[in-house]
Amino acid sequence: MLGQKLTSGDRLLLVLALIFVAGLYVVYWGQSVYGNQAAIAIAGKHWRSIDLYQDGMYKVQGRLGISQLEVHDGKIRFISSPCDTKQCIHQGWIGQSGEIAACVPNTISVRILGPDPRFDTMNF
Amino acid sequence: MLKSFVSAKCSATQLTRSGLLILISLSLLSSCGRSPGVYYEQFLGFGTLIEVKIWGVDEKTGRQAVAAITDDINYMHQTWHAWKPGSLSRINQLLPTEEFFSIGPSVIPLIRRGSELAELSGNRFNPAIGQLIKLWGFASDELPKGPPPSATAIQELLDQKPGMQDLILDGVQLKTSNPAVRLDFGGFAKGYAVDIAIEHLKELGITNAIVNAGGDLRAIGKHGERAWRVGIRNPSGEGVLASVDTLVDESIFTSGDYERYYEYQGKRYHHIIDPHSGYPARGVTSVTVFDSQADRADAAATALFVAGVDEWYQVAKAMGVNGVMLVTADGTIHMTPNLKDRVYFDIKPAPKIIYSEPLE
Repeated sequence: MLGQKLTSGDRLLLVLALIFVAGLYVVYWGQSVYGNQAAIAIAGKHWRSIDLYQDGMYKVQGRLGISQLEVHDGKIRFISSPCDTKQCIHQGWIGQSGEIAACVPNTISVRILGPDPRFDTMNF
Repeated sequence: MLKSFVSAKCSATQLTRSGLLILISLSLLSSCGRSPGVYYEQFLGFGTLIEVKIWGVDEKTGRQAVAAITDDINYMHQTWHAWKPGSLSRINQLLPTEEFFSIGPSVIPLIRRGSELAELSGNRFNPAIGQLIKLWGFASDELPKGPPPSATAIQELLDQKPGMQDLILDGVQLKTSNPAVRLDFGGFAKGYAVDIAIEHLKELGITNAIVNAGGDLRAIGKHGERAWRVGIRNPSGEGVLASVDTLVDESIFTSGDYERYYEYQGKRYHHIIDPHSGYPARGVTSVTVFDSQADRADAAATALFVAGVDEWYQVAKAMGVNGVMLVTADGTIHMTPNLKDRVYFDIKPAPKIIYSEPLE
């Protein structure tokens, strides 16, 4: 089958396929340090994933109450939480694949996911 | 009929061939940069978020391994907690009697190791100042609101000079000659627990893993063909300060003034208390220690924070750690030269870096 000559239609389709693949590379791998999803966990259990390119506000019910998350332009942050220290809010925006933010007292964590993690883990 | 059949067959063949090429391209693309074989789980333990990553195991093995260390960590947290009911809080109740009493065997190695590290640090890391920590209000799940303790109350505790050298351990019997001693392993128990968790993983045959307890971690082995990549969060704001690829067995622990603090009348009081002055240590924003042992890295991060810009190098050398990155209040970075080619800074403008003499 592959020994047959390529027709002009084949060539056109191949070129389109290569352009498509190159486009995918730029979109998903070209800026791979940035994640495309955030995995939200409550008390260590996965709750849901959020698309980082769908701007919006999310309310998450934790042990102490509701934490609010804001998603904007590929990043996410805690904007309110019923914890004492507010460390989760002070951390600000995260968006690089592998970054994590957590409100430990409220048992909520947010982890950035991407095709090739910029970081395997975070030190702080 | 035959012609149309041949034509249809030919089109189908062309489509199959083109589709195959697309599939090959996509499969090549999808194999790039993916991270197969990483088992990830997180749970709450030691009052913080514990993350475990294991490379190269199936889900069943990963799940069993994490379950095993979850049990370890829950037991250690309950046993070693300074202010919640458990073995250590019982010890703290009995220490003022100045009489021998029996202690749980699991606390003995913690006391021995804590004493050793305290001595090496010149008591800048001092787990015997539990009363001082309590006086400042940090021996609690809730943050203190202020006001800070009085200078008189602080001085009264300092005058009694509580230290690990005041403990007398005879088998499973413990007493102290100094009634001011109260144990608080907050500056070191997490590191000790991470070491035990990693050793447990090794016993289970796992050679490539990260155990991260609230931002402090030990990594063994690699992530497949590459090293584990660690981001070091910017202590002065959002984002990442630097990144580092870990050695085959390396712990990275950070102590910072942003972790637990309160403000009173415009002044910030954080949780890292200098055992010599009795007040929160000043001048440093964070200290990151790199070492093969998590317990030593943990204790050293506290000790070097207390030691400050002038004395951190001598204390790091005495404690025998492998590498140090200290960030001052003005953003200047003091660093050991062995980290120069390993730590990549992600912030702009590039920070001012002052390299020390080598530690070895």
